[in-house]
Amino acid sequence: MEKVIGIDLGTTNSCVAIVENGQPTVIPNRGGYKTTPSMLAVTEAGKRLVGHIAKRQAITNAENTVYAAKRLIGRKWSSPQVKNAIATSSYRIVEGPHHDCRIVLRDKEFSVPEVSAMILQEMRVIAEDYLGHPVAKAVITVPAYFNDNQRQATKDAGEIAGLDVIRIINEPTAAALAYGYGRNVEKTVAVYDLGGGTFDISILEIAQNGVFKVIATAGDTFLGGEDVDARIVDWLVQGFKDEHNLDLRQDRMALQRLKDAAEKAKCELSSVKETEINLPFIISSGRNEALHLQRALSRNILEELSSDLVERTVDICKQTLDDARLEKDEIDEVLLVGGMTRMPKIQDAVSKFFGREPSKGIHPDECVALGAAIQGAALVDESQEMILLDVTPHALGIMTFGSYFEELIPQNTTVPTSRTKIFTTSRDNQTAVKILVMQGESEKAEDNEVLGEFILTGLRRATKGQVEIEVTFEINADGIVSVRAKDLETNQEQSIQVTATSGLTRDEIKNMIDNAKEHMVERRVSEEFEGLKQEATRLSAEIEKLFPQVEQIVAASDFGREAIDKARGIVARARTAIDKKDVASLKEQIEGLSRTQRMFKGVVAKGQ
Amino acid sequence: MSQHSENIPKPLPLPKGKSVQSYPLGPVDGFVMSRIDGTLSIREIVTLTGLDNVTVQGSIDKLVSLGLVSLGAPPTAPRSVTPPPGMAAPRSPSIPARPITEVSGVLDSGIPKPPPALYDPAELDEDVDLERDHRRKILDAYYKISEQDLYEVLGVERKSDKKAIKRAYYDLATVHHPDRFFRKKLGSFKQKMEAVFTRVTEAHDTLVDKDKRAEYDAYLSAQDEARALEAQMTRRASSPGMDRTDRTPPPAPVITSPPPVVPTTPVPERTSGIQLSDQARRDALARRLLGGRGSGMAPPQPHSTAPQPGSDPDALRRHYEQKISAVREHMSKEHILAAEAAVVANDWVAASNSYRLALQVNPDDERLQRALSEVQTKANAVLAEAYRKQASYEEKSIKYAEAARSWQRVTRAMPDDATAHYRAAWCLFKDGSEPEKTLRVAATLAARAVALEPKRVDYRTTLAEIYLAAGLTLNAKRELEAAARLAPDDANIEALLKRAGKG
Repeated sequence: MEKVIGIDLGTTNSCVAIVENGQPTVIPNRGGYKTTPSMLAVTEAGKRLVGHIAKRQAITNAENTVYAAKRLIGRKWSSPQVKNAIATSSYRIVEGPHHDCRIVLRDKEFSVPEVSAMILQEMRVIAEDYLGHPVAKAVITVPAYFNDNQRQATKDAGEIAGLDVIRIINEPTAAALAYGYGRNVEKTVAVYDLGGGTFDISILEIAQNGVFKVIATAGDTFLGGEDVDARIVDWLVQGFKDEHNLDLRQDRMALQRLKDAAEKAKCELSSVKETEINLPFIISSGRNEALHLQRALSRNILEELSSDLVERTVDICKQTLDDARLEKDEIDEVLLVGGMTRMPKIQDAVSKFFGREPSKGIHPDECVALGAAIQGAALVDESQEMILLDVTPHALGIMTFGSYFEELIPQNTTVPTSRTKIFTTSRDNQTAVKILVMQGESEKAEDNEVLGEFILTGLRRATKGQVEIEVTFEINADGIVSVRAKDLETNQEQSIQVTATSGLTRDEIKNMIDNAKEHMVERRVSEEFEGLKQEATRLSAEIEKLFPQVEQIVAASDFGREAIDKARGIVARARTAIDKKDVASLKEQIEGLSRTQRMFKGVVAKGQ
Repeated sequence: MSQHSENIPKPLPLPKGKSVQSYPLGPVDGFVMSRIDGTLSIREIVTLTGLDNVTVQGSIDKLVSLGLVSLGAPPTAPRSVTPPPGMAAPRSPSIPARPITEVSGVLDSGIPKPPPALYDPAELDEDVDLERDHRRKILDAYYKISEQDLYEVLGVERKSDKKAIKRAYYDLATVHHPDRFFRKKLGSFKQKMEAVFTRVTEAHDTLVDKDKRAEYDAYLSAQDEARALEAQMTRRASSPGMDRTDRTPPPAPVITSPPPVVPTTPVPERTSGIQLSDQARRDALARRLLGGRGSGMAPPQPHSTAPQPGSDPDALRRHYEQKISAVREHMSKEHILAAEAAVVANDWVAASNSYRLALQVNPDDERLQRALSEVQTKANAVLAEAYRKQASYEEKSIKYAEAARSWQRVTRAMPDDATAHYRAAWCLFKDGSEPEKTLRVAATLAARAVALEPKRVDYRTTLAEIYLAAGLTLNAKRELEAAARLAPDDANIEALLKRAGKG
């Protein structure tokens, strides 16, 4: 049976897992870490760096290092969240050809799914290295509150990375899966997921026969750890401005250092009550002297700075509990997911709201990837009895006369589902209607997200309100929305499968897939080369070391001299192959080097 | 509640700690109860006790409603009758010797007959990656869901608590959720599975929400009530019980032929239940004790008190007719008493039933005719109200076909209710399925609404739209012109007229 990996593509960190022999396991990267930073950088030499190595050089290469791409994925250039990101990011964000965003690295433009694809590719490589064979299928997680455009963009990213994304599932749901798997429990759980960039709260029912049913879900796709970091940075910048009358934001390197320090301080303050932020030579004063930033940050101040963010999460929890029509005491377990939930203030607020201590049953950084792996295994293995019943996080509907949004499938409806409603024309003698498929909670169409549109023609001319059009919305188990519109009089029908737009056309995606594949091949080849080079260099060095001794022993005989010449030749050829980066030749030479090395050792041993 | 006289009442065990004396029974009930042993039919008990049919039925009703007695379903095949002496019973080899009492047809080998097919079994043969059993499960569910109520869809009792409903839902989810067969070849089964799953989820979501469930339960009981009332009103035979206060829905209406008033030639022991005057019964008993004709059970025959056969035929006939009218009077009196009791209890439907039966006996009794029509109106109102509730819920749930049916039932009970006729027409029109059949009906209903309330513009315009849809443009024009006279500036009417003009 084919293996399916589960990938948690996080705002700040990503994680990959797989179910092995019935056991969900997180796959560590080559450095032994279980999570990998979701960062991408391009060096001056044009080399791509992903993960830890990208993070390490972030400060010196701030302009060409991307982080938190998840905050941009699937969003329109004009959206307020993108504007916010532009103001605070160290890398450049520009408008793309389809009202989407593009990120500029070393003067080259990348679409956001492309950037995420590179991170996904890295996770794929981690898995393939560990398993020892290629991996094609994956389940990728997204925040529960992501709309269809954001989901489609994530799916595109997976495709570009060369993966067959068999399902996109919600992060809190994945966490619940990880919690309930193999535990044989029957509980109502609330999952509070506060990550680097997004917040989700989901309420699920876990049934004994392996059914996981989401009752209600809500969140904020632009609220997370990064915002707390931003608050700290604001505070530092303000303090510095008061003292030195200089705006640190104007200096990209200073800004990057501030961010790093802020994140580090935030994490430290989860275990200590006070910490010092020390950034010497942060900026030059303009008078040929360098200024330093040194300031103490206490937990109290941090809590003050972030209190409104915490409150906002609690408000959303309240609303979701209402939507689920449950009382707090009907929740059996509260699960905390995401690095931010390590903050004491958050844990306090959650405990206070739900009236119980959160469960320690899952790992806040790994459970989402584990859950994704579990779902992947359950889908491809028919014997697995687990079934996930998730819901649409946003209402689905169409735009009606007066730019109002008419809902067809309400928020928190279990999928697969279908609903039908009858609509009518809004103008006299209207012979065609444009059905604008939208997603969102606002009554005004303009505040909601457009997923797609199509036109139904051939209506008979009539006074407005006389013609009847039946619209049917369907969401199937894969979360794909299809919309059908039928003119009830002529029975003429038109239907589309609404594929949300990620901002990329099919052609563009195809190109990106090809590029990514090329890049993958290159990378594999280069890795192989590195390995061979190391081997060859090691062998050559050993041989070189033995030359004097060997010469001494065999120089006398002809046979000996020939052997030594041959050996020198091999070493020289190996060096050439290394210089030329000729993998095939290098392989040959390594064979020769090996033989020579063994021979030399033997000679030396005998001679002693 | 009335029973087929072939029914066999069975005594039920008393609940723990209760003694039979604690029940509100009278001496007649006690007597009847003492004859109930689980083998005698009602008819036989009538014969045995010497009481009349109404009394016995009434007592048995009471006993059943108190939970002391249960009734078996009437056997579909006649019980094997011990052949009269001298006749060999022709025993066809396919009928087993013992009496057949099962309701669903039992074949020779005792295997229950399968219910009629819901779908063409060829559908099971589609080339898909599913086990045959599973295919059957899906098709069975798919073809039943539109007829079943939400409790049936989930396979739970109406009284089930939230937990049971959730349990049922989860079990069904694992069967019908398409993810169980991820990326397998499912063909047409995929859409069916998704449809079943959607309906099952709808059932769960409605029944698990306190408010929605309350609303739905009210709708179901309105449905049951209406069905029960309807059944009561259409039943012809037998009489209502004496003190019927419970409203439990009766079993499927049992329509028996009117009790045979005229016995034919002397028949062997078993007769149909015939009410007798006290005198006749006493005579029969006396005869038996003195060793009259017949053997075994006392056959209370109306004419057994008559002069012996062979004597004057005219006298026989006269006596016989006397007996008949006495019996008739008695029956009528019983029905009237029952009706009056029902009126006191405000049970209009029961009252109308009883008056109707009394009228059957004395069709020319004006007093009865008046009483019946009074009570009938009230009964119809009760029935109409039940159907009206149903129709409103169905309209709200966008189930226009069902709503149309319910509204039509209202019209049957209230033939002068314009709103009901109009709504029935509107729902039929909205539903739009099988227009060849429904448009005509819709037109008739809408026309009646218009006739009842000629000044209502909207009634006329809807009627006009129906006519237009049916292609009857002249009729449509006529209605529209009348509507236009009532509402001269209505743009809608003008638009419709234009449409009609084109036709």
